Amino acid sequence: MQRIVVLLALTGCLLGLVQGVSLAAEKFQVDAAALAKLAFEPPKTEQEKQYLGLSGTEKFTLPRIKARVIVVEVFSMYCPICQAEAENVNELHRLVESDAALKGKVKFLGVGAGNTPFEVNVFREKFNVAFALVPDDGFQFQKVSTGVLKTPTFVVLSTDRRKGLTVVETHVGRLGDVTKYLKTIKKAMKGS
Amino acid sequence: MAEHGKRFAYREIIVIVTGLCLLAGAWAQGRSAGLDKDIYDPGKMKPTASQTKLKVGDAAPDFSLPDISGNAVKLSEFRGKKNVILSFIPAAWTPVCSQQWPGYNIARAFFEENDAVVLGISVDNTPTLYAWTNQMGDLWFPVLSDFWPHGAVAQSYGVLREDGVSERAIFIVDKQGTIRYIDVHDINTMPRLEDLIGELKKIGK
Repeated sequence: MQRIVVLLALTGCLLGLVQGVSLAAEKFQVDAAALAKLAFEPPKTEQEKQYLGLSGTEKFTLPRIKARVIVVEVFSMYCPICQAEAENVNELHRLVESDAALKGKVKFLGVGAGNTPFEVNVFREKFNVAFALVPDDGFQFQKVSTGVLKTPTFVVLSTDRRKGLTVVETHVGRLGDVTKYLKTIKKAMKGS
Repeated sequence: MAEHGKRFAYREIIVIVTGLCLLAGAWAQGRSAGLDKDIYDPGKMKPTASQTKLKVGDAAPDFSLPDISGNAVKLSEFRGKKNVILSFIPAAWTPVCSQQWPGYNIARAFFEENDAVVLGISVDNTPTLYAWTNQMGDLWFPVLSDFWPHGAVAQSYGVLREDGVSERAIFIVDKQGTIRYIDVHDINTMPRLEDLIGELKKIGK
């Protein structure tokens, strides 16, 4: 009798553990096809619009961005980790801009999760962000993802007229050594 | 007698093993629930759970509270010098709160343009606030502990909730010590920065 109790208890525990671990490890994934349909507010400045190859004041979708590879950073002006990471991301952007093979073909887009245009602009000015930032006040990005959206999250996307938008890599949290991440971007360029 | 002892030990082992396993399962699930590994997610809460009697035009109740460096900060010290934003947050280590002050931290220029200072207030004790605000970077404004008598300042502003945490509330107090703006916000959501800055601009220097 006692053995049965022990066995039952152990089985129950094991199930609990597996369930817990699998929930904790629920992988964050973006549905690229759904993301391609999301309409974002255009960035505030003309410079940012030109950078993305956009014009006008209407909302835009990611496939309209003039790029072979899009690096999306989902951030929040309020997120202290995003603030601490801002200079590192700027550095990554500078590396891309100074590489003739990547400049003009790889575009960076910051998506401010839960942020208003005003809040996104505070972040842009504070950290002198040279790429485009747009607000996502309604947390749309979460709606096209599985797993909990944490900030910052980086998604490298390949654009292709035939295949459409595809996810090359997703990274949650700080980037660390950006020269390593540059390799991921170059890999995405080769595949696109 | 010896057999009885053996059976007892056996039962104890069962209880201990079961307990440990359950704990391990709960730990793994807890980590997934929060936005970050250190953030506790209380789930969706009742938007507000108190009723302030204060209104715009009233004199702001004065108080003195310790900041995380151990200095006492008195509201009336700012009289004639600065507009003061009192930012009550419900609790340390919870999702929205953990980002609200880092937001104010990088918006410093907007507050200074309007001759304003932020006083962050929480009912947590000083050591908790110290550890929590450490991961926000260097905050330019004081963080005050309204721990003891528990939540007394939150109470005097009518924003202490029934469960002992405070509302997510903002009071703007002008240089004359008069309340110019009150936002007892939905505890689950972030007050918009532009709303706060807009109200500050109305008061001016």
